[in-house]
Amino acid sequence: MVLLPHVLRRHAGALLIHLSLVIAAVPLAHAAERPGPAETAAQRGEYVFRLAGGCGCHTDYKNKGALLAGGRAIKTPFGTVFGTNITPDPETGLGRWSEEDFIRAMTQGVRKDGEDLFPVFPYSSFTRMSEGDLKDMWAYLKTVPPVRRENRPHELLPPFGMRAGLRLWKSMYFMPGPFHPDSAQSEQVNRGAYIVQALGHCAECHTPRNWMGAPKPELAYAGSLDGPEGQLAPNITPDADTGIGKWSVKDIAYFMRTGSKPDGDDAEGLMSEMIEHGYSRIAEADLAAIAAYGKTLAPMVHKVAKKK
Amino acid sequence: MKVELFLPMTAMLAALSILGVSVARADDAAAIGYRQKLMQANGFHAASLGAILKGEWPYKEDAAAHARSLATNVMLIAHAFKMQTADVKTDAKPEIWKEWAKFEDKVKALETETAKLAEVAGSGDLKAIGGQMQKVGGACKSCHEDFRKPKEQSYKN
Repeated sequence: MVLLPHVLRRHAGALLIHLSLVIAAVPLAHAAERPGPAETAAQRGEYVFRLAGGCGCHTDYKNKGALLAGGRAIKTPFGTVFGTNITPDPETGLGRWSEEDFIRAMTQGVRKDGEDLFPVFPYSSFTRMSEGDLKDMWAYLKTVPPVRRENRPHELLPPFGMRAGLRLWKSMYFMPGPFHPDSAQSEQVNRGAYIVQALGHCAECHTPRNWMGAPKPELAYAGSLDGPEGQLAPNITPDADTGIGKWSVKDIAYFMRTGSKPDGDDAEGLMSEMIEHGYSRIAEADLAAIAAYGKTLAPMVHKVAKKK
Repeated sequence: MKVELFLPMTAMLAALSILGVSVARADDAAAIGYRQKLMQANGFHAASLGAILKGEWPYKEDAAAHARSLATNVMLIAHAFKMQTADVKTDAKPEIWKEWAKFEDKVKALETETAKLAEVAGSGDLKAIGGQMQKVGGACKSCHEDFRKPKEQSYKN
């Protein structure tokens, strides 16, 4: 016991650094506040990561895979893709990527080696992220434990598996560029719009797609039978009968935080993952912003049901 | 039933059972209707607790009654699902009866969490109530994930 103060003094510096790294890496137990400029880039980045839903496509939860180490099978109408390893492992992950490489992947849908990325990876949404959020998210990703795990090749049906076709797809359907706030809307609605359009990537599941896998803008957020992993994504526009028009702003915010719907039912599948790994841990103000924006969406009469 | 029908009925039921045909002792529609209404009742109480937390229902003191109702209702779940029904017009997965022990475990977990909710709901401490409701919701979800058909497989869609 007498030895302890001496030992601590010797190692105080290392201990402090180690502790601060641990604190920075451990998620906030109850993220009630949005991190401000006083927090580190990695802490802000973790919050951005939560706003994006926790990037569950990159963790093979079903098989108890390591965080963000890839391997998760994601069924799509075009075949199965396997989420990639985005831990900082130098050989099998993003360890050798620069910040520019990361930003290019997120906003342009292009890999470090110059190949196009399949739009199962929602760069059509992430392209709208602010530079600050991108840099912070990169700082956070660098703190995730590196895991050595080779990426599994996708099993896409021809011709969709051909990366050459992606150039064509992107020329037709990919609109790169940052988020533009709507000056006619409040700050709160614009904050919600940014979260939904750039980070939450809600439209990627909730907007139905055409035969080429591109979202149909005329049915924005109106729900899809062919979500990833074959899951049904409901109509989340404010239509009273086929959407969530009967939900109040409080109902939406509460649902995003808890997964509990106004009728007492619970969220399922991928949405419950987004809530568990993302929205249950964000600030109330941001939940309210998401809900406020949700109420401004054009109501779509679109019943998501199997054709009988 | 009429005395003179008793033996023939028994013989027929025995024959069907030997053939492996599941013989429900109640009408399928009645069984399905019963358990759907039970689940809707659970949903009502869970939703009401949510409404209280959201400030949409002004009578916070009602939380205790809703939580007690929920805790009472869930004690009916095991019996509600005891009778296997044909997989027609129901979101109940056949796995319920194939893995009955696992189903029972989920029900027990729900009983535990709703009992705790009933205890804390009288306190008026909305934060504590909210915290325990998360656990109850987790127990509901856990069973649904294994034993309720997802939306894309629901007969309602």
